[in-house]
Amino acid sequence: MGDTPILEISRLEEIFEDDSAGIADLLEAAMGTGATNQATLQDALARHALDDVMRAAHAIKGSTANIGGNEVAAAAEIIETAARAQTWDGIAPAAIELDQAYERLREAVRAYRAGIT
Amino acid sequence: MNPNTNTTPNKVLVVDDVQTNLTVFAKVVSQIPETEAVCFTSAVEALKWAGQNECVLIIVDQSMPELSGVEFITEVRGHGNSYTPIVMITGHSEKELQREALKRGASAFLGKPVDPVAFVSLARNLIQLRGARIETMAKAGAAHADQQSATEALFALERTTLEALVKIIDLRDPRTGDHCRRVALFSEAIASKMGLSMIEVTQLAQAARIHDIGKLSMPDRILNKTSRLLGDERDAAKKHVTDGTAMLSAFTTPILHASAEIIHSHHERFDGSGYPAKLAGPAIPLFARIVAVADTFSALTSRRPWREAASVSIAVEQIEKESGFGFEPKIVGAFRDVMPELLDIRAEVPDLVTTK
Repeated sequence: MGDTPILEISRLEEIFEDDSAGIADLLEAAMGTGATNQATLQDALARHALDDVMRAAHAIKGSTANIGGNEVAAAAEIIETAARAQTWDGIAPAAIELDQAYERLREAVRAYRAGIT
Repeated sequence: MNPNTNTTPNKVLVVDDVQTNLTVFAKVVSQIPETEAVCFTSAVEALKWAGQNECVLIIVDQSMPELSGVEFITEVRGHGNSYTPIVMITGHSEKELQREALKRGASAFLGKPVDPVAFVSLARNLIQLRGARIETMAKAGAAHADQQSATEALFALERTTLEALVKIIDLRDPRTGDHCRRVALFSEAIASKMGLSMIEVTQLAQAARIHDIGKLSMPDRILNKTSRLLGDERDAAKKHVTDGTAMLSAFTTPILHASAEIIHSHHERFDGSGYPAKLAGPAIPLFARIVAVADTFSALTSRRPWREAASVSIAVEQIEKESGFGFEPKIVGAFRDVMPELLDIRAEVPDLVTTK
């Protein structure tokens, strides 16, 4: 995913200003939602249900883009775009990338929390 | 809402099925002055809230499980909310979806992630626009109400004026008053039969009530003369049409204006041999053409000091004979068709001299 930062915190800081605790809570909540969304995507992939894959990827893209989770959002967009075009081309590698990006995002969130305490 | 007098923050409705997105939007909304976010993860619940509460802006996601953003917008607009701006915020970027959302009533479209500065600026503009629209609508409503009440006052004044003129005729000469009443009712019946609109029939019925008001200026020796009018007296009597027209010339309201036309032209003849202007056919105002038939029927069937009242059958015969000459054939036809009604009117408003 190249230069895309795993967690672009500046956007949230612009919105939340000095409320670091608020940002941390939001990120924590997003990680919880993220786990659910990831499971939904895995399930759709296992069932080879392209429409469900598209919806799950779309949900992941929207929720992670909003918190600055750009890598995850970018991987989700690749999956969503392919599923919307009714093709499996590129979905499998993007799904692996998405899982890995999610792991890195969780790390970044943990680091952010640690940094403010 | 006036921000100077209202301390309650304006509500911004935010609808997104992802809680973390709502948290971010609520925070962004808090940067718009004097607003607070009301957030729903359920579009159905949000719709219910929107139906019962006022908000200055709606922010809605497109992909939601219960209702899509486009469906949500359609519902909101379908329930008469036409002026609350709606911003659709979504990850979708298809032109087709954007067009559909705009067609259903979205005010603007923003992609995720939303730039907070751009969003706050857009939201402020849309909220201001909403305020201006509501203000404009209120002003237009007030102006319309003012105009309506001024028109109603004018019509009320016209009714009062007409009643006063009818009263003056009654006091000066009760026989002319009764004749005017009969002619008005006859004219109403004939006009209805001819298929004139309800407004026209009502106007005619009112306007004809003073068609002989010019007789107010007739000298008593002519008005009360008990024998047939001769020479100069006839000419003096004929002046009642121009005198009456002069009396009402300053009035421009619909009924009194119609009265003036009737007064001026109800002695014109269809063939152009009448007075005062020798108008012919359609050049004679329609109301005056109708009143001419009604006036003649009332006059012929009323007793005069110098002659007995003609029977109804003789009066009808004379009027039919004048069809195409003195009167318009179509009006004579309608007159004949409503004869039972005209006889009822005669019974209700009899001629004073006849019954004496």
